[in-house]
Amino acid sequence: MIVPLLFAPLCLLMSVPVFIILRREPEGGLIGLAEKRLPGAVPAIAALYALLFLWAAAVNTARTALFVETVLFPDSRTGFIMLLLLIPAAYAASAGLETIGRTAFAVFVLSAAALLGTGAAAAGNFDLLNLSPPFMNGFLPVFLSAFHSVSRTYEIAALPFITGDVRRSVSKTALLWLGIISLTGTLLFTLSFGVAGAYGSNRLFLFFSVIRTASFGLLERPDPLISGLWLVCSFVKSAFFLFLACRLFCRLPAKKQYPSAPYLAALASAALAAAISPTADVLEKLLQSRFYEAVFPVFVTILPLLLLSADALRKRKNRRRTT
Amino acid sequence: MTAISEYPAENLRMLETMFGGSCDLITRELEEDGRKAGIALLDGMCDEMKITEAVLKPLAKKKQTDKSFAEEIKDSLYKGTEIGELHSMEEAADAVSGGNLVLFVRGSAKGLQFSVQGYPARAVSEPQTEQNERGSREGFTDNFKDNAALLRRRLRTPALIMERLTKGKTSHTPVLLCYVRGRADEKMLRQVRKKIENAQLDCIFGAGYLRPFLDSGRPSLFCTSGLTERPDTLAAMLSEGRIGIIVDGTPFAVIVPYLLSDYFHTVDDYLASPYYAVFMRALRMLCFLAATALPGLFVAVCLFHPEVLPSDILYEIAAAESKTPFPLMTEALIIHLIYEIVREAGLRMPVAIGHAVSIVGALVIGNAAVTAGLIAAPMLIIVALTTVSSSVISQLHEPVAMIRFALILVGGLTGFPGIVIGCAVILTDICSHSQFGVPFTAPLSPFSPSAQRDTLFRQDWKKLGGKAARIGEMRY
Repeated sequence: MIVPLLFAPLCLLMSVPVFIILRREPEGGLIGLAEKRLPGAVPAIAALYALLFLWAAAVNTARTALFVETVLFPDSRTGFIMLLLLIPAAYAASAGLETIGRTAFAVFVLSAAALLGTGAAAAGNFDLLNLSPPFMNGFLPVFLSAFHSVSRTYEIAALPFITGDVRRSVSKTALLWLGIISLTGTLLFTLSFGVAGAYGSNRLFLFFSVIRTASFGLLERPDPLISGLWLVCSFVKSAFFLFLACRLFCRLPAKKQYPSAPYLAALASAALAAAISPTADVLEKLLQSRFYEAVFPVFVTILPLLLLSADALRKRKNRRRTT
Repeated sequence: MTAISEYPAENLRMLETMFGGSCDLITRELEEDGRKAGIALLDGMCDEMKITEAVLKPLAKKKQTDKSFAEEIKDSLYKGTEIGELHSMEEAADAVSGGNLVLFVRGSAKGLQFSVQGYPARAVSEPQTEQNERGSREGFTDNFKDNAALLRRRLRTPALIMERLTKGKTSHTPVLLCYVRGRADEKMLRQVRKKIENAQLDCIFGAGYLRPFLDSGRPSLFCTSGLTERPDTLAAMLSEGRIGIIVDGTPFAVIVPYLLSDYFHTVDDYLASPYYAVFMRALRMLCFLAATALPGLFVAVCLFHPEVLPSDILYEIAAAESKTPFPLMTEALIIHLIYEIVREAGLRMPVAIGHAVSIVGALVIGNAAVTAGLIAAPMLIIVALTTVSSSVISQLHEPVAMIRFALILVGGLTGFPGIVIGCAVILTDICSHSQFGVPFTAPLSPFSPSAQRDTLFRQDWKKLGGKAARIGEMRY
């Protein structure tokens, strides 16, 4: 329960350099700052982040495919599910960020309604005694758990690349987004552990296990419907990452838009997803590995910090020259 | 451009050549007061009474003055008739084609056109495609001038502007661009005008010819321009700052920009009590979902996720389906295809035979197919629900029918994941359109709380009447 509450402050703490960049370069974001201070490094930075987003799309797809394969269709082929998810996602990515945003809004409303409905339906199985004291084993495990969650939130790394498209205040939007995630996470975890208890800690798809216990009037088992909604969320997420990967890749040779780029990115992402998930065990080990904890700060904190340092150095040099 | 000759006979001969000796072209040479004139018109396109009263009689009574002959005629002829000057033979030919009478006078290198059209046209009647309970019974006709008058009667303000354009290389169809000055966004207006002007069309026989030029660039199942047969609907839309396009020869006017939410609104919503209007709007949205996804969902649930349904219902469905020879997906596709055939037949057949087609569709195909064990009753119930829902949102029939078939296929092949991904793609398609800067999904996404008073909800006129909605405010 405490883990999601720690999520927001930890996110904020790690993304301080990103927010500073957003204040300095509200239009251009991270790439805009790099173009001003380190023009030679722009292709490298763009390529690095593009690969990160391609990787994020692949992981998201692999995880969704694993879910479908293990829960919905045990006999289905992973490659087929990945393509079923990624090709439409590429279509959405080709439609642009505005389209993805509008779709995401509609999906958000549906998800919120589904969460409320499921929560209400599963509330009968909720038991306060199932919730253990959060700091029973000390603060460190709680902090590490929160860090584990944060390091899988690639959307923070996406913030400096979409600033030019955001019409309202970027900082306010980001804060609102963090607030919503924290609140939803808290509710989900509370509900899930309140229903599943200690049994929940070793479930691969905890929330799915919880909604299996719920029933809505005529619908005896709403889990396929809720799983469907989860698939749509995953589709939007993949579309967003593919869009970002394409936007950054398209900056490498020339600032041009390639209509087929999202589809190529989807294929690359599908190949990557297939490579990292030959079996459910391999994927799960990868998802639980410390690799994420190591890589994530590089993109969200260290690289933006380096750019800010370069910016500060260049400013100091300029000031010396003028004096 | 061919110049008009000072000799009327020469001009008439040239017109005859231009019309290729068409039998309905009437040309006459007249002699008045020792000076020669010539008239040309198309048989059946002009009102004979108007010709006599407005042109021939005044022409005979005309007295010779110091003015030029053409000026005299223009000044002395009946003022109630629209008169225009012609400067080339091409203009004269266009005027004749438009049902005008063209007059050439000796010694003048200009022609005169008299608006004496009298071609047969349908009278104002009740709209066929947009029935309502409490609103006006007047619908647009096929004549653009009548349509302009019907619109003007509802918006009696000089701010209502109608710009006349001519489109179609061969058809030279009059097109009216209508908007309310001060309410329609200037930039949007310029864009619409430019798009219509740039539309490369040989002939225009309906409003649908112009719609693809006005829609957003991305190919889509959904049209981002609307059609209406009702002058009151067009007037209401214009007052919101939208732009209307009236095309001669069709009772439908095009409305741009047209939003997704507009498909779920009707005239009766504004005449009924607000709570009932809100209920009906919600119902229409539900019908849209049912008409598109219900058969696909039914197929997916029965084939892949039977655990969702209560056991009693599941047993009934299984028992009924076990008696049919077709797999569930094939059965769904066949019966929907039959429905589309019956619908198409009902539309194209003469009215008298149309009823017979309905009876054949309902009784023979429906009842007999179930009795013979070709189709299961639960599937027939789903089809009935779907088609009735589809009729509620008849303007969306084209995309709904296509999506329905696609979702049956996807649901039958991939189950629920396929359905949801299919729905997500459709949602993406809907969200990807913007027309003249206004998102198709506005004001739902991007969400505008203030615009909800007449989108999902419909406030009371006491509140709604205070501040008129503006489409320009939804521009992004």
